Amino acid sequence: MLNLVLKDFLVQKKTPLISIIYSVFFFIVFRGDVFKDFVYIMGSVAISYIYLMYTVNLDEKNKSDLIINSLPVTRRQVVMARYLFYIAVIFIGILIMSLVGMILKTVPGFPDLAYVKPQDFVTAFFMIGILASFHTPLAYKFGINARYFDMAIFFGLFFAPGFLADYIKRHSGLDTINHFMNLTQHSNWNSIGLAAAGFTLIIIMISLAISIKIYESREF
Amino acid sequence: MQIIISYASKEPIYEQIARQIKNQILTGELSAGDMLPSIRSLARELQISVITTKRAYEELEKEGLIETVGGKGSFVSGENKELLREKRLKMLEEKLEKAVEDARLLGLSLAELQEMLELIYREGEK
Amino acid sequence: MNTILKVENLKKKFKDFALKDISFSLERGYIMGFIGPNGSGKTTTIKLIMNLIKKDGGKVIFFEGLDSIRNEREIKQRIGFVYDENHYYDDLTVQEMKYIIARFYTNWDEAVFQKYLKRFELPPRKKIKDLSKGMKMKFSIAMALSHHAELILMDEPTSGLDPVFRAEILEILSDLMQDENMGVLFSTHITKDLEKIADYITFINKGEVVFSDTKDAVMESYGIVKGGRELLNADIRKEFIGIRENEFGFEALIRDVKKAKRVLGSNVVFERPTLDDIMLYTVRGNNNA
Repeated sequence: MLNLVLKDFLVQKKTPLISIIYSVFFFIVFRGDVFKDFVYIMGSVAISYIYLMYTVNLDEKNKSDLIINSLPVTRRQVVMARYLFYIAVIFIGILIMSLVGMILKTVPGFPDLAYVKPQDFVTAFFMIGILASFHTPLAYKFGINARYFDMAIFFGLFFAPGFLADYIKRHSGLDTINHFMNLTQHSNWNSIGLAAAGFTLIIIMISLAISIKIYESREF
Repeated sequence: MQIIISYASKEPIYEQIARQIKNQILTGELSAGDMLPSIRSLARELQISVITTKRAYEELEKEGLIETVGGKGSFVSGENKELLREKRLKMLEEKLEKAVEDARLLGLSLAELQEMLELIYREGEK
Repeated sequence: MNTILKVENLKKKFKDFALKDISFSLERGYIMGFIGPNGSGKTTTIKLIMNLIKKDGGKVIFFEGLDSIRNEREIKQRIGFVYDENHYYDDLTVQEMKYIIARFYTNWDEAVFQKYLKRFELPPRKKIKDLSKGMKMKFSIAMALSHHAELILMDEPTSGLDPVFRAEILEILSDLMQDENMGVLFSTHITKDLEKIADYITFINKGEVVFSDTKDAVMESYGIVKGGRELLNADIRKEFIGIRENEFGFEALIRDVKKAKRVLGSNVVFERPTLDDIMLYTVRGNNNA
């Protein structure tokens, strides 16, 4: 099965480079006060999404499922490998953003930039996990056309942190939000992060089961 | 060993192969104990079906002209000198028949033909 | 017997096409030509054999007893496949694609692959999408033959390619057949390719098997008969599988040459058919073109 995961990496030779260019672009565009704190999350999500799209695109381009399913692998393995690949991609997204962020911080005159936080990582994991969980069964069912469904999920997830931050900032006087802020940013962060990660994992597992079902009945 | 296959011929391919190998055994080009190419390599060389070469060899085996030793290959039989001589005589007869036929067409008498035959036979002795 | 592939009553229904009870079997050491016009169900059959589409009924047994579904992974280790079009990731180079695929096979033999690269003059650093159609096919063949597969499945490997290339493929196949443990199923609508080297022919038309037999038996039982139109009557027409009539006479395909010779005798000319004739007349049937 690891051969299948490796395959998904090796077929997209250009994506790592494209991802790095995108990350620089993100750091430059989202420098404003509103987005500054969330640039790592947004960048990671975007990079992962680039990987997701390229993967589906490349499979469709030459109907390569025909080759993959003619190899000594089961369809279940093909799908499971794809999910492992997406999980790996989340780490890659974060990694690229962190590295590029670190490098940019050394550039003289570049606007003030935060270091990546564990919270960023968990949030990105949560968002990409949810996105991929919706995207993958749809992609197995509708192929590249699944991107129309993605758009809704994608933009929702993409802009949610920004709007949420804005909202929280404007209503920071409210007790509930303060309480929530305390909860998220102080003592209980660990348990909330853990809960979010657990929730994401459950969603991923459900999505995996659905994808296997769809893929096993697919005809090539 | 030489085998030439014609796709234009009415004769099935396996017969063409069997006939040509047989001729070469009868004329002595292939002698007892000679090894024949394997069924599969003959099929490759001639670019034909394995089943076809197999069948050609089977025909030759049936006539006792070749023997197949499992794992070793096919060989020209050595035990059929009598049979072979008989066959070669028959071939000779056929050729003579043809010669006589041609002679008749040309209007030669038996005496004239005998004279011609004697001449050719003597020529060969020298 | 050493049956490398046994297809039994394979069924598959589509909206506008159905594969009905396809059955045939292939012995080790032989090449089977799988022929039929476009749309007759050749590719569908091969996809069912490879479990790329789901069968509605029937069985496919490989290597004397392995089931196509239950033993899928083991079977696929021992199969080499070649499809009519390139389905490899074509942004990759020959070498990169090979690296990815080779890892899946426990018996991958790099030396064999390199030998084919050389033989085919395949440039290892060239992207697959920049290869010509013939070269893409050669790449596909090299991939199929480099893991010591016992059964090679080829779906239209020669379609759209020139005679030189096709002759080369036939040479490779007869090279392969030096190993009597291998079997090849080769689908094509260009029957000329198979006329020479195929041991067995399975002919399908409209989703049904017309015959599956040794090529020699097929070629000997079928015949082309030509004669004057005055000979034609209902009884004689019944013996014809397909007929073509013109102003001066008729040409027809018959299944039983011996019987036809008895019935029609010396009033007609008999000729040996080509596989193309057999396919053409069978598909056309008794309707005049």
